[in-house]
Amino acid sequence: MKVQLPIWFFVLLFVGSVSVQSQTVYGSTFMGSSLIFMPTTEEVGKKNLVFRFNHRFGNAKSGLKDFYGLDEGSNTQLALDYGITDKWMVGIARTSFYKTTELRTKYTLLSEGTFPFQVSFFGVAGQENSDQSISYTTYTQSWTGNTTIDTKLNNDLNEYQLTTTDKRSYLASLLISRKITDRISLQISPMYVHRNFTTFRISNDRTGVDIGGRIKITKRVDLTFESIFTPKRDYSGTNYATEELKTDYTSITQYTSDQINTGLANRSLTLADIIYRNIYLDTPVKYNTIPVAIGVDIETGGHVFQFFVSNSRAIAHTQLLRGGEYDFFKKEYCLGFNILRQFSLDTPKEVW
Amino acid sequence: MRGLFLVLGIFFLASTSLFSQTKIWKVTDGKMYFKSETEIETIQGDGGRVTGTLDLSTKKILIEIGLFDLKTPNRLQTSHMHDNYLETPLFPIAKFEGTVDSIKESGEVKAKGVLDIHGKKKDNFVITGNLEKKEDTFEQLSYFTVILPDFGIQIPSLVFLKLNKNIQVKVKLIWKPE
Repeated sequence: MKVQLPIWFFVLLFVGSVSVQSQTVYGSTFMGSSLIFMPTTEEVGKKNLVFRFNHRFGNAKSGLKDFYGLDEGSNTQLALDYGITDKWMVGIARTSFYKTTELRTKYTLLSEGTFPFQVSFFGVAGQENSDQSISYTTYTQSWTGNTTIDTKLNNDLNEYQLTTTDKRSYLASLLISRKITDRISLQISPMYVHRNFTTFRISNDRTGVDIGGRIKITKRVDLTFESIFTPKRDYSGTNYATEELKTDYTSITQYTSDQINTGLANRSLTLADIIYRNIYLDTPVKYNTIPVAIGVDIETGGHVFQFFVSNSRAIAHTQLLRGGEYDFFKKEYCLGFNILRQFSLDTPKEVW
Repeated sequence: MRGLFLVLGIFFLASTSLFSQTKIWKVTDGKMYFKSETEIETIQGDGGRVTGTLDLSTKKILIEIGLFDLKTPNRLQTSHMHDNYLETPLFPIAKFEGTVDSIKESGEVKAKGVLDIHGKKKDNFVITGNLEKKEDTFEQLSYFTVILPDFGIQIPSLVFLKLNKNIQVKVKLIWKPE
């Protein structure tokens, strides 16, 4: 999958805007302190508390039948971010996927007023608390004859229970943003994730580039987009091309376009066969796609609502680089929203 | 020699009397405070870079307030105030241009003129100020109310419970004669 091209396009646009635009652009770069997946370079502010409520619903493919995925269980995150100083923020987040708790911090390294870009460091430490186990590839059968003991032994012999340290992961990222015009802002964030434990063939270290932006439509509505380009995702196969063709049932794969064309021409395939395999048995391949989301940000006095369509249900930052669950080309996607409310804990000085 | 002293003497006399006669007062320091009160929420903020001149001979007064560093304790509120209400990138300066009714060193002074905020002008706007002499400067305190719709700033129906359209403003200025 060619992922480099769009990255270079945005990097060129980003750097190019510095030379083109001479006068400074004022006003906020993004509507809130976070975009769809990653945080923005917008500072939380001293003694300010940001409460976030994030939701990703299920697969919307079946349409109204499942009410566009709302019937399925959703991935939810509650998060609190607090600004110790104007530049330094610390936060905590709890996500329902894998019962993940994350501690996070953001620090503004360079401000756009003095430098062409606003640059922040963003770091996360994540801990998954759900029970997770991995089955060994070879199966060892126990032989005692006592069913209770056998079941227990079979579990212990053939499954590895992940320890607390195994389920820990870390993220480091540089958030680099620029307000290109009054209406358009871009952010490019190279990121790195380390996971203490990963299954066979999946590396513990993962890199990616998050590209996000906003286009201001009206004073209170922004169009937003974000994508995380990563050369490797957590798909379980060996090759992205064959993984695309997987179906619900092991060993049954979808037909490629070549197979369909030649098969229909020499009558070795029937249309029913193709529909059965390519449409009926079609299933999302988890963590195969690059996370992409498009949405709107709406501001209503102290709140920011973000509504979007995404192919990734991950919210926890350390889980983003696993890849998207759904494939837009198979009409799979999920709906999601983020709600942000900001409070000031500063005791107001009585100036009157 | 005597003639030279005389000429110099006259020159010095003339010059001192000329410079002791101050013609212009300038704002050396200033700050602006604002408050919106509703039953649900009180929003307070401050900031503003104030510059101003007062011409004693013509009684003309000009005060300009840079709105960029206006802020409330809530960061999100601050950025929304600039982006959606004041539209600071488009209208970075609030301006008052008028005439004062009298020149005083202390006590109440009235000024009447044009207030220009958010690209909209309001004529016959009256600002009263209380002057107090402090060594070689004068401290002025003014209180007035700005009605947002008068300056083309609309409050969305969802927000009207939280934001009062009448914004109370307090301006503190330090004048220095020059």
